Amino acid sequence: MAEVRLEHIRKAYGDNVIVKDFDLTIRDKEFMVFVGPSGCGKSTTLRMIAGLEDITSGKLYIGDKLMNDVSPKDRDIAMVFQNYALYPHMTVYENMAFGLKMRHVPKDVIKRKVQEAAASLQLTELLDRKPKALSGGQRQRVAMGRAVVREPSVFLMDEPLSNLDAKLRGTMRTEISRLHQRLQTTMIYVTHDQTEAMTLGDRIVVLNDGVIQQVDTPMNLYRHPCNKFVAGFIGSPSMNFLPARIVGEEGEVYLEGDGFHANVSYDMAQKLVDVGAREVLLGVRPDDIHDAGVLLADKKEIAGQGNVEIVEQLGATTLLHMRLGTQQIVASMPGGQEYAVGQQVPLVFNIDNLHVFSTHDERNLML
Amino acid sequence: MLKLTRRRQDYAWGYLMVAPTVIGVLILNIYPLLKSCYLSFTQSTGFGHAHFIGLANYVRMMHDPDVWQALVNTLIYTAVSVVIGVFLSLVVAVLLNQHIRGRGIYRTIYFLPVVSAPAAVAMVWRWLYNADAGLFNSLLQSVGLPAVHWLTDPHTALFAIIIVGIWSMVGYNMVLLLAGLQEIPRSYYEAAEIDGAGPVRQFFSITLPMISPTLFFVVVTSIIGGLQVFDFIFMMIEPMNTAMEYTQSLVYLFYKQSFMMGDRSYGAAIVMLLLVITLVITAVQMKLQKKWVHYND
Ligand SMILES: Nc1ncnc2c1ncn2[C@@H]1O[C@H](COP(=O)(O)OP(=O)(O)OP(=O)(O)O)[C@@H](O)[C@H]1O
Ligand SMILES: [Mg+2]
Repeated sequence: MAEVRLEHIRKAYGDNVIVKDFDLTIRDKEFMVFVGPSGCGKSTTLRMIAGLEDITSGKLYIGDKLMNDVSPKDRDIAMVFQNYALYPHMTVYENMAFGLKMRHVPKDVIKRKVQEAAASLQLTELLDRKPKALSGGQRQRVAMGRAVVREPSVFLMDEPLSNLDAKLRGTMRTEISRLHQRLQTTMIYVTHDQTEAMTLGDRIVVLNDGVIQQVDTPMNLYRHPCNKFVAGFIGSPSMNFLPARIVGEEGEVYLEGDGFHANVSYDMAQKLVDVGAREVLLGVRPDDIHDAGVLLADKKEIAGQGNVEIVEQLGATTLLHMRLGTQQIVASMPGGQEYAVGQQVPLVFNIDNLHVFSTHDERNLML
Repeated sequence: MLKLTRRRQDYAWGYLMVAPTVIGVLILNIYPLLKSCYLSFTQSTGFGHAHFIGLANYVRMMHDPDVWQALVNTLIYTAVSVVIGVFLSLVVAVLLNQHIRGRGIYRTIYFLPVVSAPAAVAMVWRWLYNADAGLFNSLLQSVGLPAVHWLTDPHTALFAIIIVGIWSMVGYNMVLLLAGLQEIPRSYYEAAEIDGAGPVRQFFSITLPMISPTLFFVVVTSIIGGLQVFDFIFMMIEPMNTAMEYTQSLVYLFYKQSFMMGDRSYGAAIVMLLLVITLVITAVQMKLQKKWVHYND
């Protein structure tokens, strides 16, 4: 059980700075997810915590102990690798027992612990197999098992589900959640998949280009993204961004852009008045765009006419890729509705969930 | 024109492509082998004539102390050079697999013996071993030790040859092993490091098992090469050398019987003996590999 504290961690390869001023405290027993696009430095940060990569500057604490110069084996961590890194010449049992054996745990204790962990991960049948005789999902569970038997105070996982198919990934996701609830151990989990991040994390760190963009709970990231990057990264399908102008008319403020005219809430109107610039970026999630015809909305509420270009039926929802003015937008409609390509759909924006970003620094102007 | 189905055509092309190799093997390997086998049951009567004498050559071999001594020499040469040579190759490969400065240069240096002309190599070693003017003896004498007659003393000659053999095999085996080492994914070592395995443990628990297929290949080919040792003896030990009896290998004895004494039939019998020994040793290794070689797919 331990808190993990990163103080102004920096990582550079020569002149190439990969991680910049990473400052974060991960609470004891917390499930923390690092998410961000490929190459943003997630793995590098995790590997610095594991001790597999040197820290260029800054301080790393696990518990109260400064860990910068402590070797990986003495950090009381366990790591699950993306490719699992199961020792190919050892059986599942030997793989799981290896770490305990290295720590000179008595044989009978090793046996008990491995069997317990194997039972909890449905691996008992497979203990005598070699990794090559396992399916992807089974290997993944062995990799988890190998980490679990060690009873570390911090679990590190680097994209552990990325080699699995979509369905298995869903199953393993709940499995990992359950594991966290049962073990009550600090977990740090790296992924580039925002769904995994949203469903697993107590809190999420959104990274871009080696810089922390925002650290918050999944819902707060979704509702109050601090900038355009976070807004676009969290949520699926991604938020639509529309260049807009703030227009004030006799105390009534609205946003106007190519092909649309959006009313805003009273709160937002107050804040928009204070924004110095007139040009902003309006952010609307696909879920917050509705069909005015279905809502029987008032004419005044209609923001614009979408021209349907592609219809993606997902069952419960239907995604409409539309042209609004000259720009592309995506809207998520209830699955029951029928739409045809070329159809004009009058659109209503949910005025309570609109986001406005600065055009010059992409910061959320409503925070 | 023959009408061939698509599939037959593919096979035809396949056979055509392997034909040169197969024909080469048949003419250059299989035919001489069968011929030797036949010869070993005959007695040469000169002018290319021979008549069948059954097992007489083999009976003669059983009672020929030269054959037994050559067999012992060959086995000693093979055992010592393979054990030490493969061990050194592995050590050098592991060292060169680290991130050390100038490892490209070291790699080249270790590989040089493989591409050097054997005659030139033998000349240099003969000078190094020379009893009066050689480097080794100069070194010995400079620290007050007596000179050693490396290549003429029956106690040292075979080992002097073994050293040259090891020196010339390390480079080649090292390159093979190094390629094997570089195939091992780094994440295994990282996982082991987190699991708490130190460098020695990592070597035995990860490096060795994962390189075992390459190591197996290296051991098998080195043993076969060792059993066939000839050139270093031929080039470094003169026919009248007092240590000849204790250095000559089976292949050297075959050469001596066939080409110096002109007894092709007896030479062929010696080759057949070597062939059987090689087959038995290789077969035993193939059996034993299950115990220590880990194939990954
Ligand atoms: N040894 C190295 N030398 C130089 N640059 C490196 C080295 N290792 C990683 N990098 C660079 O550091 C950056 C971050 O790499 P990292 O592996 O942390 O990305 P990531 O966020 O995990 O991406 P992914 O989702 O693709 O795994 C990349 O741009 C990569 O090219
Ligand atoms: Mg990564």
